[in-house]
Amino acid sequence: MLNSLEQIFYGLSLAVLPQNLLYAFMGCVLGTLVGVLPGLGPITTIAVLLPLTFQASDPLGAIIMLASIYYGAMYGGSTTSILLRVPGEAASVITCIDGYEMAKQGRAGPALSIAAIGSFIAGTGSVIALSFVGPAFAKFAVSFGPPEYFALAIFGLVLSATIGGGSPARGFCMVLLGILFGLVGTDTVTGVERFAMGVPALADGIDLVPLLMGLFGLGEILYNLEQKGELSVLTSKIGRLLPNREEWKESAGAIGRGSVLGFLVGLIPGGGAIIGSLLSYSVEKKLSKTPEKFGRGAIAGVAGPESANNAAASSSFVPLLTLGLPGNAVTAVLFAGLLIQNVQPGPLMLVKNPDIFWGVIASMYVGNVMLLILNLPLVGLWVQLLRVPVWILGPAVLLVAIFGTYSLRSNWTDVSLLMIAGGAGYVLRKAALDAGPFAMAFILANIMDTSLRQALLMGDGNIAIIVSRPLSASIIGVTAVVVIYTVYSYFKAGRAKKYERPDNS
Amino acid sequence: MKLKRLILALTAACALFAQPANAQYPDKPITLIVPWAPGGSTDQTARVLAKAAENYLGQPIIVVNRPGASTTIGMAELAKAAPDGYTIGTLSSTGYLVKLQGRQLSFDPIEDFSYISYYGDNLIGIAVLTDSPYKTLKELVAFGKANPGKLKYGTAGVGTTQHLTIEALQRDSGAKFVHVPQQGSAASAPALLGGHVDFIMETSVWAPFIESKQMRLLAVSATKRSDVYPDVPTFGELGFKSLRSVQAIIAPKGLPEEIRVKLEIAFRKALSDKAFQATMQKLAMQVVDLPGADVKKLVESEYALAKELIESTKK
Amino acid sequence: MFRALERPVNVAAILIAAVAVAFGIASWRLGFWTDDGPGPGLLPFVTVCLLFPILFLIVREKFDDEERFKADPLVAIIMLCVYAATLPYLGFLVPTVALIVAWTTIFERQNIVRGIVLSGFLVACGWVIFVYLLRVPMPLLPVW
Repeated sequence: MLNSLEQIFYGLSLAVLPQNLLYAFMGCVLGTLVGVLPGLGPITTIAVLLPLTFQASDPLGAIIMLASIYYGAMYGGSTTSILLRVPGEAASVITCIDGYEMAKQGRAGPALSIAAIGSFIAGTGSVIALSFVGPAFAKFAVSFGPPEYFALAIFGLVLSATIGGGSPARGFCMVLLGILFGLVGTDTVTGVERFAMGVPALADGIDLVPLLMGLFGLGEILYNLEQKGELSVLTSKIGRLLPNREEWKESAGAIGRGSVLGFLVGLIPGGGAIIGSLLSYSVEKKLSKTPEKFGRGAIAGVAGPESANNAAASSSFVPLLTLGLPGNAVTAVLFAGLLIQNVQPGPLMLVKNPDIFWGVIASMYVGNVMLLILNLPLVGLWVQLLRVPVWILGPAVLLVAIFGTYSLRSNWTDVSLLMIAGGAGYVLRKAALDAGPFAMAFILANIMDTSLRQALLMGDGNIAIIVSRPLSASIIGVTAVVVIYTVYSYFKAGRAKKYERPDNS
Repeated sequence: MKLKRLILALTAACALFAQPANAQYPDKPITLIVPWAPGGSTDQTARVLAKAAENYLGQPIIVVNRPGASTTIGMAELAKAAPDGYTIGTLSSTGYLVKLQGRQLSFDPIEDFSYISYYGDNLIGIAVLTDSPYKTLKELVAFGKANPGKLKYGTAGVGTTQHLTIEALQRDSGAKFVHVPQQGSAASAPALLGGHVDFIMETSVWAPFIESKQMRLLAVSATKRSDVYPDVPTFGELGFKSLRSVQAIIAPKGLPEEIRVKLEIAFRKALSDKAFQATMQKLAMQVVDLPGADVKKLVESEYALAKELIESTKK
Repeated sequence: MFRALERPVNVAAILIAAVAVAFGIASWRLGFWTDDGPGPGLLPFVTVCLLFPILFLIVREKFDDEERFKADPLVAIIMLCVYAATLPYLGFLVPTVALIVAWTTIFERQNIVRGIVLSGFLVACGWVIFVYLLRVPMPLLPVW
């Protein structure tokens, strides 16, 4: 313990060096910006900057900047989700659900503020956990094998069906549809291409960014076209900027639970921020005394997931730095960044490059404070976006979505995909089918399919492997309880109960 | 026509011995397509190599990443580019192995390219956990023979160099292992660390764990022993076949020989660059120098061997 | 028949059913079983099978405030698809300017001057962020 403290102070002494502070600040500003801009995610930005770090003479500064872009983007990602229902970053999809509803009710300010504050608490909490017990958690990360991933994916899919506000049948339908589209691309286990129709851009699967931006962002723009100003978020009053007392009370628990959940999920390679925020949302909905508020502007539905995705972003540094295992696409690019700087992330990094290890971790404390200071005043500025006339805002979002999509892979197919997803988003919305469960199932489908078949290969074709391992067995157990409880309450509440539309706009 | 060819051949021959004075090419920057995401081993090495080659070409080389679909997106773009020497690219084994997967490609991964030079092999090796009972590849194979299907192994995926090399090992030794394909090389290390597979056949993802003594390297598939791991035998020494993980510089088919030779000279001279060699060493890759004509022969023979392996496993 | 198409949920169900049939056929072709265990087509096929009864349930669900399709968004969807189809041939500049001008004049009922000014401004902003700052190689002009 004392040793860790000493090392953190050592790290802090490096992180507060003027040039490193400057790098962290630049990273935070850049990260917030790319997080806010839909379509531009931390992956693109870090990848663009990566070649520049080839020449950097100061490895620590370069890494601090790349890392702060990552968590900065997690802060910024919620902004457009709340204001425009366009996920600024994939991990903020869940925030679209209740955040946008809050904005429509004139509560954009509190939603943005709680997202920033939740992110700060979760980010700081995770860094503390990371500095003291991080290496110990490394074992947990590798204990996740195919059976555990399968159990987690099933759990996530069951929860996905319930995140929308619609009827269970509608949620379930969208989950199934999400699974189908999620399976497009090369199958890991057999190497066969599924449903790609020979289109090279689909060989690795449908890209998440155009899909999400189309379904949510473009779908919303199209939907607003016919509203002609009535009822749209754009005409609602701006209202308070900070949450009131009641909102604080509703959010506090959600932030705490979201942080812990996000931290744990972020540790697992392949887990990451998106699954963390999904879990947090479902847990909050299940624990809430007023679950019917979810999907209609529950602040806990913003506070929880936003905390979770930040906690996960921080804890994904554990497998990266202690094991050299990049758990998601962003940490994979960071991994490359470290290698370029002649730092081998992995078990020996603590011994061979303690300055980088502790410097990066300490910079995360600094970065979180910077981001809070940067983001809270920005809330006032962002809500002004709502004053921009509809005829300017619509085309502007459209253009950013198009350019952002193209910039990811320089691929025309992705732009077409964006348009198709946009059209689908509009039709689904009119049909009161929620895109949230679809998005979640889309992400989880491949994990579920691949890990099930990997687990079967490991277990010589016997499915018992999934229930015979303690970790996967307990996740399956929890899943079963959730399913039974949901079915039970469905029948108890009476099947005749009318389900209202997922959003009554 | 014949005369034209003769003249071309003559100019090429001159170019080999003396750099021609009429150096019109290159008079603008050259684009190098890397069909992998930024930061991967090919991206890192190709960037340093390109930097070094710039000195001999007198023009900047701009690296663009066109990742996706097992390099075929970038390869297709390169195949379609004008063969004027201003668009070149890197070739990895993955590029021609995907054809064997039965995937429909808009180009021929071997015939549609001109071969400029070779630069190295990825070091691929079999790693087990340190507390595993197998100290040598021989012991592992013996166990796999006595207990068919008992041991599970991970690789970056189906049809990769890693997978095919183990297939060859099984075919030639009679051992039987179960393949648990992982989602890319990066996923193989945690699969072994967590004990979800018994051994992995991978590119240098095991390197940090060999150093931290969590994993042990049983054999490497390379033409000669690695400088970094001089104690680890090669597959060849142990009497097993292995595929190479090719890293080469290529251009679209129909590149004028004169330009090809200029590029070849520049890229082969660049192999002696200090920064390039350091990067290769860091990634446990071996620098290999081959003339362009031999690269094509190598690729063809590798392709034939892989094809033979895949056909034999299908039976 | 056409009355039924007025309900968006029916249209969505038809579209989803069509997609599901396509996925079903493709997964049949992929194969359900291999020597080593479940094949690549098994899970998608099971998913498709589950989807049909669910669609039936959904179509039967009725709400008081069901919406109807309107013309503008449908026209816009067609416009966006045409836009995406022309991009590879015309580059970004021309189709994007045309799209934004058409969008602001047709859907937002603004005059054409505003449309042109807005499209010019937005494309310039996009260029600065993506091409100038982020160095994304974006083909702005036609390929020829």
